Amino acid sequence: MKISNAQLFDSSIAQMNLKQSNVAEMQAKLASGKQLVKPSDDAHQAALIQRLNSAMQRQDVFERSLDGADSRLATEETALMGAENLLQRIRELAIQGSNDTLNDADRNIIAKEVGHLRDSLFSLSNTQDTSGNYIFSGTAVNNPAFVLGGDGAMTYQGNQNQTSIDISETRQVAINRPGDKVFSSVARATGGGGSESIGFFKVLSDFSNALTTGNDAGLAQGLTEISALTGDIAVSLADLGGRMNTIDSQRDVLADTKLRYQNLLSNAQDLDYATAVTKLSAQILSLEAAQASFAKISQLSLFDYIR
Amino acid sequence: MVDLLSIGAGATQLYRSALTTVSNNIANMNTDGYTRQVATSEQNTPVLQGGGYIGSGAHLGNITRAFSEFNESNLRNSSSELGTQDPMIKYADRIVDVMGSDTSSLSGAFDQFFSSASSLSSDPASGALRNLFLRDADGLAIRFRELDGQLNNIEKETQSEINLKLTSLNELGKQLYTINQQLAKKTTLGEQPPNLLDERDGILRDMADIAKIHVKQNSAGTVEVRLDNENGTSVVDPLRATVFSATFDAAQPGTVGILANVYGVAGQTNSVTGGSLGGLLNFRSQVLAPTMSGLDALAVMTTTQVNAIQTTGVDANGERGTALYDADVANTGAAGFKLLQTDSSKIAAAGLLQISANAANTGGATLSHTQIAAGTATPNFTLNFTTAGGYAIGGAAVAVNANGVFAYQGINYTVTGTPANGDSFAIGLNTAGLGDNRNMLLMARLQDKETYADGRSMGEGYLDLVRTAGNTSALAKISQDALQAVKDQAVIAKDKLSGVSLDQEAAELIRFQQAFQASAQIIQTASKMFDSILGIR
Repeated sequence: MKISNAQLFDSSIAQMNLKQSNVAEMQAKLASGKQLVKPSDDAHQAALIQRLNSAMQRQDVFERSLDGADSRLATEETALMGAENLLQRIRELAIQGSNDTLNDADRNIIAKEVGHLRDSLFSLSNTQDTSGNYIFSGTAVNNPAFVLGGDGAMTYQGNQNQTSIDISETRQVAINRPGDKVFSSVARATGGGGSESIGFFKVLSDFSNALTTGNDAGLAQGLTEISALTGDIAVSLADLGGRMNTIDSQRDVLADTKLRYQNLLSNAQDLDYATAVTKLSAQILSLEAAQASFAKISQLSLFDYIR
Repeated sequence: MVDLLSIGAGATQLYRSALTTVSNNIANMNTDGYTRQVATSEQNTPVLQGGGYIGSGAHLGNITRAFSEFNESNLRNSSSELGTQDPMIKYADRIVDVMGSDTSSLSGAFDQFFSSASSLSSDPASGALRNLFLRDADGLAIRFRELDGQLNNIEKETQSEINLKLTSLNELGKQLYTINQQLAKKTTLGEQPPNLLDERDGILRDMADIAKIHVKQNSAGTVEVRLDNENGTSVVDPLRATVFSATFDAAQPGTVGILANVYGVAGQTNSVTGGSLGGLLNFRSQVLAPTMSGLDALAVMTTTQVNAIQTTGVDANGERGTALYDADVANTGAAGFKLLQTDSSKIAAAGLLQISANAANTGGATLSHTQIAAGTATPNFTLNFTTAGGYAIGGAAVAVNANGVFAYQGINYTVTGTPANGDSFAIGLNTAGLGDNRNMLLMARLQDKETYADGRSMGEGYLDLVRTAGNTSALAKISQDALQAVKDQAVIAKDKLSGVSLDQEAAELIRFQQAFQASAQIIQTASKMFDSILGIR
């Protein structure tokens, strides 16, 4: 078969161009360390990488949510532990105050201490987190949970809503406990056989009053009610502990998930250097072979032999 | 009268011409579209002398092109088919690169948006996080518009490329018409100058690169050209060259009107197939139009979904949320994807309703509601419970089913637990819920919501657009490889006959040189013979 010189040159040049571009492409991959130099190299792979990147970013978001929840719950924990200690002290004082051997002056001293403890509890009930949110106000985070009225009464002005945040695609955790559940009310029997709801701070005030007035029935009632309040704080602490456990266990899950996604992402996008370098050597070899053979073949001409 | 001298003289002339032809072949070995020429010799008419015919030498018969119409039309068709793939690959890859890159992809903007929504949901009272969310919501809108702009650029580019191709086709048609007129001056193909035929074939090849053509050659070598097949729209006929033009409809980038002005009136032609022009039309209808409409649909879907959540929530001022994105996107497409809110306090992170149990309630019942549909009016009522009358709203009894569910003013409520006599719940706008994140949680969860009818999320739907464009490009690349092999074969087949090989020409050169030398020897011999006659004394 006849091969024209133009054809010989054209096809050799095309071959060498192809091999050159293969080498250049592999070089670009090696330089970037990525399997794909641009998305159009493999649209499916590119889409997969984007999806995995999205998933990774999701996990980062969940991690930030966990961090946020952690700091919020730590604030709540500090407040609750403080409240528990204060209430414990009040309870001790209540037991002490019920003792018949005390005189009025002793009771007055106790009443003073109870008053101070109540004020401390009041300030704990209006704890704010690092962003300035009142943590015991329900969702009305911009207002203090309890306010001191003109009559000296401290009333709850938050709401009963609990805020949950997503800490995984399927898992939520509550980051607050409404203040009226922490600094809870007690049901006190009324004269008519019914009952009424008495607020946390009113219980303490009533107890303090009972101490100053020496009202024995009031003292006994105060002791019972304060025990109930202590119980509610303990429940709140248990609830908090449960939520903190959820966060800790989710951290482990998250770490595993992130590792899994990182592996998938690395498989999808990172270059296998050993294979790539081997391929590059093969491509360079084949380019050199094409160049060498072209140089030889192109020198062949019958004209060289005509004298 | 036959004599050595005239045979010798004729032969030297013949071989001089043959050598000239070989030299011409060598000289034109790199001329584009050159067809190797062959000098053919013919015997002179023998002369009857005595009892037999005596040969009277040879003369130059013709100089013909080493040419096969079959090879040539194979080459034309294969280059039409190959040319179809190139614009498809070039532009589909552009789309994939624009839509699939980390920096310009919508995926990144979606991630950012939902990530900000998620962050805001963990602290909805934070002004800083609200501003971040607003910034990323705007980022999403900007990304939508940028992508739309990129696709529009591609649309404009293909538009001008189509016009450019049609201008070339028209120009080639005119040139071919002129060549046809030149060719028509002779009656047979053999009389035509080879360079004119080469020029004709070159034009036909250029035409075939633009679109698939059907060529009919007449006896004199003039050609009639139609698009696609023998029934296609005429491109060049003996009387005229057709003028082609294109019309575009911005609303329908997939359909391009190719108009052919054959007889003075421009009419639509559908016979453009193959070639780079066919490839451009295919790209627009198979890749560009679906991608553009897919992006527009995604823009509308995103706007609808985000607004539905935003308008069924309460903002930082305790007011019901208003649309975050401009709903006019349904008319404008992704180009009109626009953020309406500029005040971060207008972001409705909180749930719409505050359900408050009366502080005096003694029962253990709680009330909740399911997700609220967009457009539902804000309810404001009190639910009362009495042992005697059951549940009632404003004195009217409410039917609560066995699961504790009842519907009121388009919202479903669920009662859990047992209420006590006289308990009540107030339901109204959630005005004091700065720390409420219910709505922002819904916004963050929108990322996984199966918003497409077939169950895909918005992010998946977007990636599918990228994948579809990538598939088309990948298929075109496979076809291109196959068709390149076909075209290479056609080139080799044509070249085998029509190409110039220096080795062949060298051999021919020697052959004709020797023949020339021998012919000269004939003259020498004749001269010697004449001298011998003259030398007789």
